[in-house]
Amino acid sequence: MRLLIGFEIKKVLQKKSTWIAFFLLFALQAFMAFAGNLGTTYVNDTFLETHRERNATDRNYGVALSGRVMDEVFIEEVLAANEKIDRNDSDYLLSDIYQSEVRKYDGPYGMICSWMGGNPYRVSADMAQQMQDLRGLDIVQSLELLRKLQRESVWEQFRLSDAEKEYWMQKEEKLPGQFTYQYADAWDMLTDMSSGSYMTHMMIAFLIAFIVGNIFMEEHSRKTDQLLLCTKNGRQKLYAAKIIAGCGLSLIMTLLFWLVNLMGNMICFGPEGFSAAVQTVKGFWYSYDLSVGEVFLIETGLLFLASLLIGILTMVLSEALHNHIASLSIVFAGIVAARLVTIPLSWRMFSMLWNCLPINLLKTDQGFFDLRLFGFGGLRMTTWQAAPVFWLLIGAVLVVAGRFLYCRGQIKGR
Amino acid sequence: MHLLRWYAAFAYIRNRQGKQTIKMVCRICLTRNRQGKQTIKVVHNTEREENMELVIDRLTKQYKNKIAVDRISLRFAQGIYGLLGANGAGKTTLMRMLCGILNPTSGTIAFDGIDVATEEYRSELGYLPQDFGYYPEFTGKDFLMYMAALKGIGKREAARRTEELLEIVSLKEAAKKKIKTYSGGMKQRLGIAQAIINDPKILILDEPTAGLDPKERVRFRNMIAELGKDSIVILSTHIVSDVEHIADYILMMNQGKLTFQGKREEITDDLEAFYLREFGENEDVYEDACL
Repeated sequence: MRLLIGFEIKKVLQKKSTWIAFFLLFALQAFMAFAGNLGTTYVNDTFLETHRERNATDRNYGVALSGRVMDEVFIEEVLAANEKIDRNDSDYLLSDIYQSEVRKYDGPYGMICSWMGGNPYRVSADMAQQMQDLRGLDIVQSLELLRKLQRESVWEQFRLSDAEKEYWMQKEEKLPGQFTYQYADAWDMLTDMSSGSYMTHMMIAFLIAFIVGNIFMEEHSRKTDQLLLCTKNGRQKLYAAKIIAGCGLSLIMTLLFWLVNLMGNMICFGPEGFSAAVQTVKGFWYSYDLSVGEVFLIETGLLFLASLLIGILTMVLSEALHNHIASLSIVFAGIVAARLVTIPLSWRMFSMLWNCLPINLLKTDQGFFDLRLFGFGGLRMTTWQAAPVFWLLIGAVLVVAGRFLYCRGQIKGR
Repeated sequence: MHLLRWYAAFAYIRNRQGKQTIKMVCRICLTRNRQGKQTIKVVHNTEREENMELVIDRLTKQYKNKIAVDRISLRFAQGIYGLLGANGAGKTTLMRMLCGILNPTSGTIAFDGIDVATEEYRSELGYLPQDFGYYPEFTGKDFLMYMAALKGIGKREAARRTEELLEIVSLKEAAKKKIKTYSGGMKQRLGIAQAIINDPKILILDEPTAGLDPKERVRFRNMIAELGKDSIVILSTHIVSDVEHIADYILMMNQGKLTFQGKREEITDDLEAFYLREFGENEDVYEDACL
């Protein structure tokens, strides 16, 4: 069996098209991973700094403030510093006061702004007053209230049932009373739609469909199937060897893409902040007690599983259709449709299943943070918990169906 | 040669002890005669079953309105069977069914009671299709090793057998060259090598001499003649001279039906003339036979 798997991998790796497709997409992934360090900032035609310098400076400031509780003292300190500049005037970036006194608070300031649904570069710095005006509460109390309002608004959007609300309230109780600021830019990027597992999945899905989908089809197009199918191991064992080789290649390619993405972001932004609460980085209203690093690890697991599923899907489709281009087109169309089409939340089950598609689930803000729950008996599962179960089931069904098709293969015509 | 004799003896001892059933009982090897010339020799193991039988019973294949093979019943024992017929006579369809890669519409195929659809049947089979492809980036050696793995031969034995066969089919020099650099004749020889790599009891060859030069053709015939002593060799062709000298039995097909079956010696006159007489009125057949 090992020998057969080795030969199947050899067949794929000996093709020029494999390497061309791999290097093109890998170069694109590497470029995106290191893009954070590429480029220069100019303000009104005046050179400010390179992005590499910017990242290094922000990292130093962020790490220095890491570990501070987001309490009234710290938030007031951040907001007070920001009152010294006018962010509506882009020249503030060049000012000495910004560079020496305000910039070091950019991390927590950006966090507070995003909690409030604002953009730190557009909103004026009188937030403290706004928050204090909010029913006369102090900053921390008003942030808590803000979070509650956001959470309830999201619950309303998702049309959660009472049981689901209860589930999330139980999760909410496990969260700390006050969040702690941690510099976590790398982990933020790695869970972001533009540079995280979502983007890696997009590229790797195309690559897998192109390379792995041909493992079965090649035998038909080369007419080697008639040789293989009449040998002792040419049916069950060869099918298993091909599936294992395809899955192995899918996982190895995913690993390489994942590694370069991780490495690029670590080099650009540093490894700090793995344990930062996900609510401090994204999804302020989210109730699950997870760190942003844990979210990244879960997404990594999902990414590898998704690659496995795409690999199996393209292999079985190409065997069923006897056409590699058709199977490629189906996978491409599926990815594009999942990316472009949003199912209204009112179509509850359909939209929940739609969010279970790998491309939607790996979009942290969409599928991962979907609050609706799948119920299996008495067990309640979030989308990111249930989707892998679905994927494994679908993968198993596809493998069995593919085996049925392959082992009953006939040589007709020609 | 010395090594091979030792190998055969080893296999016999293992069998006597009852620890292992020996299936590989006939080996082709390259030997040198007293004059130092290389010759092909088949080494027989006396355990090879004497009464092997491939039985096909009322075998039929129908494609919509066309009957490609029409209720053929035959019994094959050891020996070489030359299957003659014009293009479209149903030879390839019959052979594909014998190889288990095409399901018959009706009828059965069994080798010593083993059904064609089983792994056991396939392990006794060697097949050279009429028109098939290779993996262009594989070397000749890779290809044979791959086919050996598919036929369930262990890695060490596969390597030894590959070396042996590459020499037999005169591809030793090109063993490490990619198949895409091979000529048509070299590819055909490689195809023959893969068909016999597992010492098959049933060897099915569909137009095996296509692409071979006259010298290679003679060499190939001699090899087949040796293999026919211990195996069932079914050789399909529309070139009469390919089977004239080596076939023990002649089968003729026309429009899916078996029009003649008999021993070669029963055909007293020239085989080609006999063949043309069988298909006499059909000019296409005459043209094919003359090719």
